[in-house]
Amino acid sequence: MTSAQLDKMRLELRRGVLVLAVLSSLKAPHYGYSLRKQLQDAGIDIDEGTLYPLVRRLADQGLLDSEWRQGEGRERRYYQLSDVGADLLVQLTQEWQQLNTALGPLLEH
Amino acid sequence: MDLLERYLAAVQQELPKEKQQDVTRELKANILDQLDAMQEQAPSLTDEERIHSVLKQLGPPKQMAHQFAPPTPLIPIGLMPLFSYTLAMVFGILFLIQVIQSSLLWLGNENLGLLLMLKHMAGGFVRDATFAFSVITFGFWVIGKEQGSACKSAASWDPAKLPQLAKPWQQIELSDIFIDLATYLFLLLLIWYPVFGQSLASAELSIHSRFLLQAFSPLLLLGIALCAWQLKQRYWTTALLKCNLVLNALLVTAIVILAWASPFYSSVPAQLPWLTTEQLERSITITLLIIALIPGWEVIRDWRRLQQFDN
Repeated sequence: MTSAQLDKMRLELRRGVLVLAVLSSLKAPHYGYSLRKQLQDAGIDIDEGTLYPLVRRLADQGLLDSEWRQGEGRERRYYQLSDVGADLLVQLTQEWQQLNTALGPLLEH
Repeated sequence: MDLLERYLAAVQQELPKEKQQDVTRELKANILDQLDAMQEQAPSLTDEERIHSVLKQLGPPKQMAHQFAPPTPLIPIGLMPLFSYTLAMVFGILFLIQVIQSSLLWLGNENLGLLLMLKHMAGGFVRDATFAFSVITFGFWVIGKEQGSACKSAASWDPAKLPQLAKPWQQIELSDIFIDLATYLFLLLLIWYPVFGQSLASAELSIHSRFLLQAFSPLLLLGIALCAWQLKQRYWTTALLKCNLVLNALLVTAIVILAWASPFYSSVPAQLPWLTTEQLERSITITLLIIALIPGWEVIRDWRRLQQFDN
């Protein structure tokens, strides 16, 4: 397998998981950079060029609420899980746990 | 900072109008946060170097803008199969129209050679196909805008109606059908043009051979009907194969009868002064026999395919 193929598959594998990670992190309000930092600290490295547009798309879908706030002499856009997003997160978490339980034994073989 | 403003302006240029202000405002806030963080991590770097490094990480403005507002395809992916099919059908019909138009022009014009006729046909086809492509693409773009990629037939399809395609050769290519249709139409025009037009190409045909050609034209009509059937049902079935076999067998018979229907010409055409009558007749006989090999081969092919069905 070439490195390009591996990168493509890693990207596909991570795409759905990143949505779950972002939604989960936004139970508390965050602005772009602080969200990235939180994910990074949790061991999920995601580049800015992917994270910022992803957050915007989730907000456009009504899964996140957002507001501009002033802080440290600068304006920042804060995002937080909306009610719809919170419901979805519960369902996605269940789905993830089911998948994880099913995959575990398969990957051990 | 100039570099940052230039980057934001470049991103803004690639965004849809309604998102320009909002996205660049947010992007700027995020970049400024990153710059602050970098200042703590690498205090030795200059402002310009930090900005350069952060922008390099973010990627080219166009790529960044497309992440925020992914470009929508001209035609939704769900409509693509219908779009391709429509294009293929329309191109096929335009090809047939060009064959008819160019053949009529060729048959009615003494100075128009075969190559010029082909050039006229190709030019006309390209012109019409370009126009049709633009109109169809525009039409599908409008449909896509109105209804998205919803596939209405998805709910009403019935698995029991799936074709029985057990052999790979059962699928019929659209291009093959249109080539057959064009051939039949061209031959019909060639045979019947002298009745309603002033044909120079067939002026020297003998009455006997002309009668035979006209008598065989129902076979060409049968061929057109068979092509219409193939257009409706794009795969070979036993019934379709049998009809095709019979048609090709009749065509072989007709061509062989024609090959021995001497004299084919009442006199040597003025365009071929170096030939004697015997040489001309022999050439026609050989040519027709070679032509008969094509439907003859199809007879054998269909016979073998029918046997595969039986097994």
